[in-house]
Amino acid sequence: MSEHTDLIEAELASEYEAGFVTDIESESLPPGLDEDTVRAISARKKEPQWLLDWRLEAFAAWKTMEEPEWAHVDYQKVDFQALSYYSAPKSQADGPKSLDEVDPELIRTYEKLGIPLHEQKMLAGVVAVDVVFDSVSIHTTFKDTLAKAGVIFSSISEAVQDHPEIIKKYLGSVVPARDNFYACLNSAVFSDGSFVFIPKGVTCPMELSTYFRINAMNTGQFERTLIIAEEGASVSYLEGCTAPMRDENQLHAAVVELVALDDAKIKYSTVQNWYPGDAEGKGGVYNFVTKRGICKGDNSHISWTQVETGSAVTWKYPSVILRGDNSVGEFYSVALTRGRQQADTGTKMIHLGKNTKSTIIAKGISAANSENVYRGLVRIAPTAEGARNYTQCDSLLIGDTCGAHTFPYIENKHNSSVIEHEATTSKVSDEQLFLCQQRGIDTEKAVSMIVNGFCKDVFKELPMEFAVEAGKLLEISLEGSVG
Amino acid sequence: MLKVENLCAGIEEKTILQGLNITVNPGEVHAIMGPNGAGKSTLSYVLGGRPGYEVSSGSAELDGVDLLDMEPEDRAKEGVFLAFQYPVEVPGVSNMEFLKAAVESVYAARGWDVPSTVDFMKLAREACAQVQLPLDFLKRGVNEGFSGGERKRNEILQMMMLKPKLCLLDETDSGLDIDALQVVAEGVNSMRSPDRAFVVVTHYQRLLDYIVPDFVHVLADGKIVKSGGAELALELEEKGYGWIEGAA
Amino acid sequence: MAEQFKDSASALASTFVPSKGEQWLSAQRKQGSAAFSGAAMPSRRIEQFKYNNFNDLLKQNISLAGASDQALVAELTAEIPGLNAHRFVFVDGVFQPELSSATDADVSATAFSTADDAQQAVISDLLGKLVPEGDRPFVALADSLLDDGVLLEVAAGADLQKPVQLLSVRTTTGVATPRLLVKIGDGARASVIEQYQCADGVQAFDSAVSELDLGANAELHHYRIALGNDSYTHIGTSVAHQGRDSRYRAYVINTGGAINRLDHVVDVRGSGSNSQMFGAYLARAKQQVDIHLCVEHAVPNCDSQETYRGMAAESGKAVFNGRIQIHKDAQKTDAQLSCRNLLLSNKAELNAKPELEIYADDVKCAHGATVGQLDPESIFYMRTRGLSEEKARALLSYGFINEVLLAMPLEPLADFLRTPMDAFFANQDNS
Repeated sequence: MSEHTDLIEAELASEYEAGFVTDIESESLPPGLDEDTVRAISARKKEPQWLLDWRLEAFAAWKTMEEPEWAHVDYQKVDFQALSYYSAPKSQADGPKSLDEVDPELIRTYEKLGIPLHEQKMLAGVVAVDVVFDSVSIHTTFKDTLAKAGVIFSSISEAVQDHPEIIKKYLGSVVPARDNFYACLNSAVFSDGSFVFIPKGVTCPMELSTYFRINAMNTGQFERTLIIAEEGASVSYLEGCTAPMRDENQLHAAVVELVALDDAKIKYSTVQNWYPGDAEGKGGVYNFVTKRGICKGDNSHISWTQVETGSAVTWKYPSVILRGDNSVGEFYSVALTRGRQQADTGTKMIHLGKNTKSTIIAKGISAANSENVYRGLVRIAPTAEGARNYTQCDSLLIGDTCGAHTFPYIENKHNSSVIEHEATTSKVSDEQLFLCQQRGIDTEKAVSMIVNGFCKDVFKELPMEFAVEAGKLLEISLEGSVG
Repeated sequence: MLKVENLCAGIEEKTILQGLNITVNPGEVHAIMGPNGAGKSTLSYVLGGRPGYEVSSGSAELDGVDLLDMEPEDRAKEGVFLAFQYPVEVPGVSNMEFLKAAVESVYAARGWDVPSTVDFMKLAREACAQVQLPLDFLKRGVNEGFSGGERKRNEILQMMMLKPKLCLLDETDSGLDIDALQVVAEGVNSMRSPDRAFVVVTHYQRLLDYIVPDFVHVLADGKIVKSGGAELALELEEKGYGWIEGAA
Repeated sequence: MAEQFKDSASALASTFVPSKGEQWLSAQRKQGSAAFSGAAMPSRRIEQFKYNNFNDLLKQNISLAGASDQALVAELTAEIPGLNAHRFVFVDGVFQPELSSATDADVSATAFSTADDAQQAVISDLLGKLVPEGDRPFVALADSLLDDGVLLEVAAGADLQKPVQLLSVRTTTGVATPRLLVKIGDGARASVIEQYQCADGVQAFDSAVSELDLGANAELHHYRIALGNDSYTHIGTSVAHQGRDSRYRAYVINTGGAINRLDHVVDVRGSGSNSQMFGAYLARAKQQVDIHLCVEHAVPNCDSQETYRGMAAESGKAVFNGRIQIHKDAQKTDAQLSCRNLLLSNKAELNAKPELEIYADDVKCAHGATVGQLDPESIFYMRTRGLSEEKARALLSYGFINEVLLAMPLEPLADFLRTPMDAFFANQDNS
């Protein structure tokens, strides 16, 4: 294999030579996107030919696709030629040299979340040596425990080298390269991401989290994650960080694929708090993510939980294809928008197997001048005898300059299925606030209590320490939302 | 009239009735008592023909006719009436329409004259008065928004209209206050006759103060474990079910 | 494929001569033609037509309706017993004065073709003005082929005792564009029935547009009935515009139809208004029924309730799209939508999309949608009372829809509708 790769590299070297800015500290591609960029990325990662071919095919398809337009999302289109598509982990020279150089607003947020100082440095990109050592040791400890259980947890790049047969089998099997504009782009230029493989019958001994994988933190722009749970396996995976990861990348177009075989269970939780832009809507991350799981085996179970408070524009619909009989799909979501944030999020539950069941609980909170959309699809195929869906989507408005919208699509083609959908919209009522105030609770605290209560059904699905942090995150996000 | 022999039945591969025997003659009132989970409701449902209940062996005959192979509506036409423990709401279909459709179907099957609309209304009004339901209940959707007591009285009203041979009352006393219980019992008592039989399934003796049974059977683990007269119910009330189950 | 339809309809419009020859609406037709040639034809890629299959219509060469079949006319225009309404009858798109009744002092009804100068001014002023902006190819088509219509004016303060019935029947193939304008004066009360039907086996196509303007404190009961069959394509657009403190009640029935679609817009422009919509849409065989409801709450202190019941049996397809939009200024709006559906066969299809679009915070909005089957417990209950399974199913289905019929204050009309309903529930093959 390595000989093979070397050959390719040698062959390609001449073509992308000019493409590189050679720098001892960091190696990154100059802005721009063409076939050479794709080849260059693949070569830097020493990828096998089949993966390069796969990327190139995706790239060719992407060139023929049009960027989608959404009725309720309004943003300045991305200039794909102005982006850089590969950057090795930033060296110390690039980042702030001490916490003094970090945006004080960000430091304040860290403090509120109660993050220890050395972790603050790490999160802000002040990569101190001790922290690196610290995290490496954590990394190693858990890696041993996992290895004993037979669990593979590594970066996708490592997995491509170490477990090519698994990657080849599953990569793009849930989200095909041509699935949509951004997924297609991701397939062509994905940088790195997580790979999890839980073998048959194994219950993963610990919650897996990207938190531990600090080394992969700066590769987020086109993240690619693949999680496979074999027969009877189960895993709980936490994405992102409980702390607000400061990320200056304008565009995030990640793809996450989950595969659950017979009797397997995957629980995927996300707390996302990327930079939302300022109050006027300047800056901020575009979060255009494709997340999809397939309950491939009978009695399998995939559960998505997300708390979305960041990003200027969010476009994501973590979905489940319920193919195995008796499989279960769940989606629990809290999406909070403020400032000029726009979130268009929801899920798709595609029922194919018999007696499949899905539950959707979505809570949207809109404040200031933001727009918050729930968009969901429940589809019962003619094969899905006895399928069930229950959907509850609630919106809470804070202030009269924001928008809260619900667009559920219900498509039913089996007459033994039952679908129930409910949606409500409400506001934090003056009576509720008055009651709290009368009991001595100030308005801001009261609003945060009410919002937390509103989100309770979703928070209870999060691992406990995550739930606490998610609550705090909402509190911080809501600051100043109430006059 | 009703002859159940060695009946084994259950739901979803779980056998609940395990060789039940009971014979009910015309004019008799039989009470079936027993602890929760003994199979009391299963017996009612199996005799009523509820889909999902499987009979693995045994027989149940009404006047020599095999009930078990029949569709629920055909059992009703033979004269079996099941008063539900939880009567179902049928929104949008008025009580009147529903009753009229039932009366027409059952009367025709039993060879009785189907009453004219005027006569039907008269009968319905009388039955309403007897179970103390206001007349406007006839116009409302079947059991739609009815209280528990109103639903049970509505069951008795249907029973009066359909004039069955065999009345199966499934926990008819559950959830009833004493006034409603009396109304229901009076309705039942008014229908007692030499050619009609009742099987009253109940957990509590209370109902039997008002509907005095000729026989009391104790059902435990899917079988009749003890039979006796009305005094057995009092004994059960006093001692609970433990001593019977122990004996069984 | 859509070219066939579009080109033939455009050609038709370019040489179109109205049945009574009048020219004063030609500007409207020209505008319609322009809009139609600029409009995208229905396809699954267009959100508003996502769930429709227009293939059969789009491959047709559109022609005008030919001579009516007089034997069918008599049958289809029989009066509804006990309704006692003022009637205005269209046959294959042409107004029939001899089948229509005279009106009294409080209500004036005028065919466009017989309008005097003052009425022409009212018509020109109102026509097409209430239909909201947006791509509406079938409204454009109706405009481009605008023939006769009825202007109904109810005097301010009048309280109409008799309902007004606009009956449009089809006895022959081709396109018809029946048009209705209703102006309810301030404080007036009226019931208007808009009723469309077609003889069995006749491949007729309607693009029907009605515009209803409610003055301040007016009350309108609007019955909109489209009784389809396997051959009839009926596409309707109905817009109600509500003035201050007005009350609008709509009772919408769409049964059957090769395609039977209604785009129903309730535009609440006056504060203090109330809107209540009830609807039933039923499809069997290979029929497609579709209700696209859009309630625009543009002003504060209004409430609306929407109650819809849908059913798809055999290989039928039913679509409900219910959008409630609360504009920025519409504080204190209370809007509640309930949409329940029965899917009775495994070859049938049911698509529901209840939408909320909200830009004001002090509002109470909710929608609920369900898709399911008849409750097996209820079926068993009815069977223990001696009803056959088929009878139990028919009664339960009927009960499901009956809520909409029971809401109708005009009982003779509800009774009349029970016949097509019964026919719909009878002898279904849902295997």
